[in-house]
Formats: sequence, C-alpha cells, structure tokens
Amino acid sequence: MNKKKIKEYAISYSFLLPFAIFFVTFTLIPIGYVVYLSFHDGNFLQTHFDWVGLKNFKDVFASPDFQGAFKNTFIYMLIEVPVSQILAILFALLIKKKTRFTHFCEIVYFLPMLISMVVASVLISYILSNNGPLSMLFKAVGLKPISWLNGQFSAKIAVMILELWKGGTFFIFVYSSAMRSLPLDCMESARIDGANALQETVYVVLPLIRNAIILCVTMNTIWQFQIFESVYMLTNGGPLGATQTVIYEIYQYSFKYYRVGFGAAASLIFLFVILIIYGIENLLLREREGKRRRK
Amino acid sequence: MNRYKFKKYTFSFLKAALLLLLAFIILFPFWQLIVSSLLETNAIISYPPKFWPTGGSLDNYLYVLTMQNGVYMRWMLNSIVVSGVNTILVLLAASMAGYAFAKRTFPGSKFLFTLVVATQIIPSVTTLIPLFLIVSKLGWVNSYKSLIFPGVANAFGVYMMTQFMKDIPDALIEAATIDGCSQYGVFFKIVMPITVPQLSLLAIFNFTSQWGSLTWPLITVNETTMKTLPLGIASMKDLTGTLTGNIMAASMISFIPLLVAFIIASDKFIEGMTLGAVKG
Repeated sequence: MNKKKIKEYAISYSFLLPFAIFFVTFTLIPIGYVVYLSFHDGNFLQTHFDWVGLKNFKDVFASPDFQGAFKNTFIYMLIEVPVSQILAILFALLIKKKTRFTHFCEIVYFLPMLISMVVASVLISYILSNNGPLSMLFKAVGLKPISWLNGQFSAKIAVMILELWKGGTFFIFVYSSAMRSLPLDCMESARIDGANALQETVYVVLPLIRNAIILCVTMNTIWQFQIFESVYMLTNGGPLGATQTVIYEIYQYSFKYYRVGFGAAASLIFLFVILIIYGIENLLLREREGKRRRK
Repeated sequence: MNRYKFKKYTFSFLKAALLLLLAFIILFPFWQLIVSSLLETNAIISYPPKFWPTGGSLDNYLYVLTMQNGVYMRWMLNSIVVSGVNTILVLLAASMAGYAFAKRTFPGSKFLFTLVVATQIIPSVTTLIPLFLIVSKLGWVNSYKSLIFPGVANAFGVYMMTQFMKDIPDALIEAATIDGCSQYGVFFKIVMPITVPQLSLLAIFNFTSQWGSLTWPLITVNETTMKTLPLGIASMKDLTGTLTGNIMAASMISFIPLLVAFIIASDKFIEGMTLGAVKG
C-alpha cells in the first residue's frame, strides 16, 4: 500500500518536472539573484560582486534620472488610464449587443493587439510625423501642426497615443464580455421601473461590472508602469529625458552603463510599487465581498 | 414618425457613427502602412501625405527580401523557430503541470500551486538582469536557447491549464486507468486530445506575444543573423529615425503571417487574447 502511494506521488512529481526545471532556473533563482545583486556592486564582466549594503537603493532615490522617470511614469498613468478606461467602457456599451455590424467592429478593434509594438510604433510615428496625416488634418481645420516628438509634453502625448492605440481596444473586449455575462433580468426590471438607457448604465450595469473595472484599471496601471518598448521605439527617452520611464532607465543603467547593482535595486523598488498597486486592487475587491456578506 | 421613434433612430445613428469612427482610427494607420510600403522614401516624408500609392512599386519589398544576402528571411526564420518551439514547450510543460495540480494528489501540491500563481505578479523586468547573467554564464547569448527557454517558465499558462483540467470528469480518467492505460498513457492519449481547444487558445496567446517580443531579444542578441523580426525591424531605423519605405515594407511582411492566421480563426484569436484578462 505504502509503496504504491509513493509510486503515485513519484508519477505526480514527474508531471511537474518539465515545468519545474524552467521555473526554478528562470524564475525562482533570478528572484533570489536580483535581491543579492541589489546589495552588491559590479558589472557584467566581473566574476564577483562587492557588498555595498543599501548604497544602490540610496543611489536610485538620489538619481535625477530615476526621479524624472518616476514622475513621467505617473504622468502617463494619470492621463492614459482614465482616458482609456472611460473610452473602453463607452465602446463596450455600444458593442455589447451582438450583431453582424458589432462583430465586424470587434474584428477591426482586435487588429492592434495582433501586431508587435515595433510595428505599431512605425504606424503611429508615420501618422504623427511632421508631414504626416495628422499635420494635414491640423492645417485643414486651421490649427498649427505640432512637431510631436520635439516638445517635452507633446512627446509624452505621442507615447500615450501609441499606447492607447495599441492597447486600448483590449479593454473594450474585457468590458463587453463582462457586460454580456450579466443576468438579463436586472436590466429588464430596471427598464420596467422606468429607467432610461443612461440611468440603466449608471445604476445597474456599472455597479455590476465593478470587479471588471477594478481588474482593468489595475492592469492598465501596471501596463503604464511597464512602458518600455514604445518609448524605446518612438523617442528613445527624449527630448531631454521627457519621455523616460522607469523600465527605460533600468535598461539604460544595466545594459548600457553596466551598473548591475544599481539596476537590480531599481528593479526591486519597481517591484515594490507594483505590489502596492496589487494590494490596493485586493483591498477594493475585498471591500465588495464584505459588503455583500453584510447584506 | 413620432418623437420616441425619432429619438431611437438618432441614438442608433450616433452609436454606429462612433463605432465606425473608432474603426477608422484603427484601420487608417494600417492603410497608410500599405500605401507607404509601396512608395519611395522621398514620397513618404514629403508634404502632403499620400493616401493612395500612385506611382508605387514593389521595390521596397524586393529590397527587404534580398538585403544583406537575405537577412530578412533569416529574421523571419528565427521568429518562426523561436515563437514556435517556445509555444510547443509552453504547451507541454504547462499542461503536464496543470494536470498534476488539477487531477493528482501529492504532498505540497497546494503550496507549490500558490507559489507558481504568486510569481505571476512579479513583472518580468524585475528578473531581467539576473536572467541575463544566468543566460550569459550558460553561454547562451546570441543563441536560440536564450530566446526560447526563459519564456517556458510561463506561470500564467500553468494557472490556465490547471483551471481547464479541473473540468475534465474524473470518471474518464478512472475508466481509462481501469482499461489498463498507464498514468502517462492517460495523459497523452486521453487528457491532451480533449484539451485541444484550450491548448489552442494558450498557443495563440503565447505565439502572438512571442512573435512581437522586443525587450528580451534586444538584451540577449546582438548578432545580426540571430535577430528576430521585431528586433531586426527596430535596427533598420537609422539615428535620425526617418521612416523609410523599406521599414514600412519590412513591418508589413512581418505582420502578414499573423494576419492570415487571424483571418482564418478570428473568433479563436479574440477568445485567446482576452484570456489575458485573467492574468491581471
């Protein structure tokens, strides 16, 4: 009996083994390693690293580059997240009823998710280029064309336009599938009580998809925190560091200036911020559960 | 027409107009990509912008496909090998682990599952530096190994497959065991075939994100012949960042394989990509 059980367990572990090898080598060991590196100083060419205590963390906080990058990241987050979420909810409401026309829209809205950020940046930088279609539109309506990538603030807007165009439609899909899974009788009874479309949306639909909203806002916030490829492709952090993001700086310091310990400390600070965002999400989700139980 | 009907028609007209406006905003850049990929660089960067490829030719495509002894085809091959092999390994590792977590008992099962799920919230950038150190100590820089293997540790895939495997009826597995199927036989002959729909969703999700991935190849590859498509196209930009007709054509070609797959199985793609919503 016991022998048989041990054999059963061994088979179970053997199913886990392929994943476990990769998981240990490329996830668990690196997590431990990054903590080790953050307390040490050295570059990729050295074989051993010197213990420097908390110096790297102090350096990160004192670095103007990182202060600027964190500031930029917050600006991206504060502008892009509300804009993309409000638009996504609006379009999800318009698209939620399944017809041939909305199906066509879904297929079109999916296209930006299919392409890589590299291709998306080529597309959008053409649209925003000095002699591009947007300049033409601005001239046609009598506005002065903007040289998007040369201004400190307009370059940020350009990055946000790229992020919004590439990633924004994703949330339409999440919201519309959340709305489609709602029980129909809630909406029906609201209609019978005389609610119009707007009232029905605000008082019935939105509260019911509250969890989806929390999930999407969290995801979008974390995406905005992780902006790298769009900045790398579109602006290279410029002009004058106006579009630098935290990950862009981590990349620069670690792989261009070879300051490994510094980069590791910055990665951990970054991880800490991400964990706070998840913590807030969890609090919000749990608050809802608590309310439900009290009722 | 009474007032109620009038209101209703205005409303649905506005609705359709908004939806079409967004469709236009999405499609217009794609159209411009096609147009500019057929034009000369001078025509692309001069004013006014061209909306129709008048006087266009396939020269850009010919140049891209033959430049530097066909290096573009090499990038395409690299992308296919890396995304393809990575996806196969992810499917195999994730479904085996998912099966163990969902259908088999063993000590530490709950703890290990929680550990795997918990690592999902760690952003990939956190482990970028140590990952590079490990890969370079293994001597994998500029090789397929570094591009393929780190991505196999896909915790999200394991989480997803575990959820799917839970839906498989236990009776099915028991029946197969009683019929004399070995434990591995049960998995490869019964479980794998009936999870093909779910595996295909994970495959689409994984392949698409690997196909577009830039950050990891950027760090671990610097040899021209080992680049993947996104990295190769990114390196075609010169220092001034001028958009040439060649870059447009290169972008267009890199997009075609996924576009064809999407046209064939658009519903599967939509389902597969929105699975990412669970990832959070």
